Amino acid sequence: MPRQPLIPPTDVESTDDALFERYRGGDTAAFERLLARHQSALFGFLARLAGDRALAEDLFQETWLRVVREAGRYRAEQKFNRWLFTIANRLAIDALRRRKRWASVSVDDEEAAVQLPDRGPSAADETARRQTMGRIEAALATMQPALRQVFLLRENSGLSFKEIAAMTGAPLGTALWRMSAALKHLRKELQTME
Amino acid sequence: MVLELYGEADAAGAAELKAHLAGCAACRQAAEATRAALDEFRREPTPKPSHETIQQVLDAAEPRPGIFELLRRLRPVLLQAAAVVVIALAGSFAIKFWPQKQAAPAVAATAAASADSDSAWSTSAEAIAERIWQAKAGGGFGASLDYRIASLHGTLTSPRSDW
Ligand SMILES: [Zn+2]
Repeated sequence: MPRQPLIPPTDVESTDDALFERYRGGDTAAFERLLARHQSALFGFLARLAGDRALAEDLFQETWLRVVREAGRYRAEQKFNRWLFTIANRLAIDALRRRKRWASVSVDDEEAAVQLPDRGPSAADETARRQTMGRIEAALATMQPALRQVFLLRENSGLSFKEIAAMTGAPLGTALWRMSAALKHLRKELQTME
Repeated sequence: MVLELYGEADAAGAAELKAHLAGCAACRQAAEATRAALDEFRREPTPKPSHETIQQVLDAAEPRPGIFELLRRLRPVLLQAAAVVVIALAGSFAIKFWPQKQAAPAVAATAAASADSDSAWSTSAEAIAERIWQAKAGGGFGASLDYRIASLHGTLTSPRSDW
């Protein structure tokens, strides 16, 4: 099956900003196109970051509701994609914090946590869980949330590490370190599942 | 390595990494395994939002009149109501101070030169009411509104300008 690119192609006559401007002028069809263009990348980000489909549906809806509600405050220089993912990221982190599924730890603690073998309950449970989840979901499920966040943002939003660092309120070095640790985790998990 | 993988490394960084990988089997192997893991991640189908969720987002994006839109639509009606209030206030003001003032020529003309100051005002008020009625009967509150307000304004202020 040919893979559809997650990051939407830039099409000159209907850039995100042009479509959003048309939506602000009352053209709902332009909004529909914008939604179609970003829904896959955005939902993928939310579903995999939260690891919870129902929560991801709520977060997805809330993100777009904010886009609609705050349409008047949007400025083109913000870049639509960055604005969209900034809203989604903030909503997701808040929701995960409320559910005690987001641990904000210092980089030093993160490094220590990443070194630890983070095997869950028992090996048998792990195997069963992985069979129902799929390799990728399982590898992401055991990844530290802050690493998963940077990894998914870079993969799904197409924003640069610099933009992601700013969005997550971390220095660029921390964002790069998290990405590197995330890739290492993914690589090792996929290898052990072979 | 991370910057290089995502095409964000500058030329110097990319060259340095290339040189290192050429001479380091361990890093080369790790780089290949990382690329393979990323490929697998990207091949995996992305979860999709439900049709219900998409529909709810689309419904929410439909323009619906908010409070400002409602106020904008009601503006002509509100302006006319305000004009009526201003006329009423001006009327009571005029009645209160009428005995100290000479009948203004404009009002006197409208009042058909009546000697009775009370009936002069009441005739003038009738003329204003008539104009409001005409403005309302004029149909849709469109572009002619400003003209109608201006004419009401003229009716209101012309006697005063002569005081
Ligand atoms: Zn090396």
